[in-house]
Amino acid sequence: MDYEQIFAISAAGMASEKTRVQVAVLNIANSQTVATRDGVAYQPLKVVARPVASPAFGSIVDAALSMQPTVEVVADQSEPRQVYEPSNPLADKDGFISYPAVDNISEMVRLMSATRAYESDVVAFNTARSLALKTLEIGGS
Amino acid sequence: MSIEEVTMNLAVMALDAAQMRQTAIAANIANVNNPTYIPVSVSFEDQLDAVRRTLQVGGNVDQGALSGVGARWVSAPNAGQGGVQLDAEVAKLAANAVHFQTLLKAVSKHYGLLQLAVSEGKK
Repeated sequence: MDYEQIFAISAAGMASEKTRVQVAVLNIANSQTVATRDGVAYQPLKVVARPVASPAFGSIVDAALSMQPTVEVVADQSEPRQVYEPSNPLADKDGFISYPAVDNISEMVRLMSATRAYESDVVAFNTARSLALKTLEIGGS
Repeated sequence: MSIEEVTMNLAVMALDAAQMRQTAIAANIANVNNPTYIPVSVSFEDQLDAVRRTLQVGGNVDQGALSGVGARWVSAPNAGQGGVQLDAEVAKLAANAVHFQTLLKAVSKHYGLLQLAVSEGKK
């Protein structure tokens, strides 16, 4: 058990959860922005995560231990929400304005699960640290 | 050159590197809200690859193999991240603290062996 590797895995997990929180917060903040007449609109973002094996390949166990999560932020390709508001100055000729396709409830759920996952990563990190420090006590004080 | 001297030199250099790294991480954390700050780090372990190869090939390491090795400051702008990542720096801080304690333990046990030899086994 290479404790440096365990720390790196936990740190990568924390970084990816932080990205999720950032994306969820950005989506929630922009959920009520209206597209302009020129077509400039907020494109909702989503986070795609997959494990990537770090370059240190050895045995199968080492490869499994070196699977660190990496995330990338991609634009969501869903259609904007059309709402009938003829009194809005940005309404088109039919009286519709388009809001970005952000579901606040889903974003809140993502935010909460990312927070819990972050806390779990911190617990895992602290556990690994206690184990490493306990290991140093081998051989007496 | 005795093995004992090379071991102690390497251990003391590693301790210095760990202490410098602690300073670097503390500086990075202190500048977390500074958008123009470039994070710094310390390079030491990656210089030991050549030493490790010498050990595998020759079976032992002499002082000459350690001549170019030393802890150095490295200015490392985070590629594409922009500034200091606080959670990564705190994780590095904890890992470095464990590493420092491990090295301290190794050095103190080594000196304990020498003390045992000097006192001829008597307490």
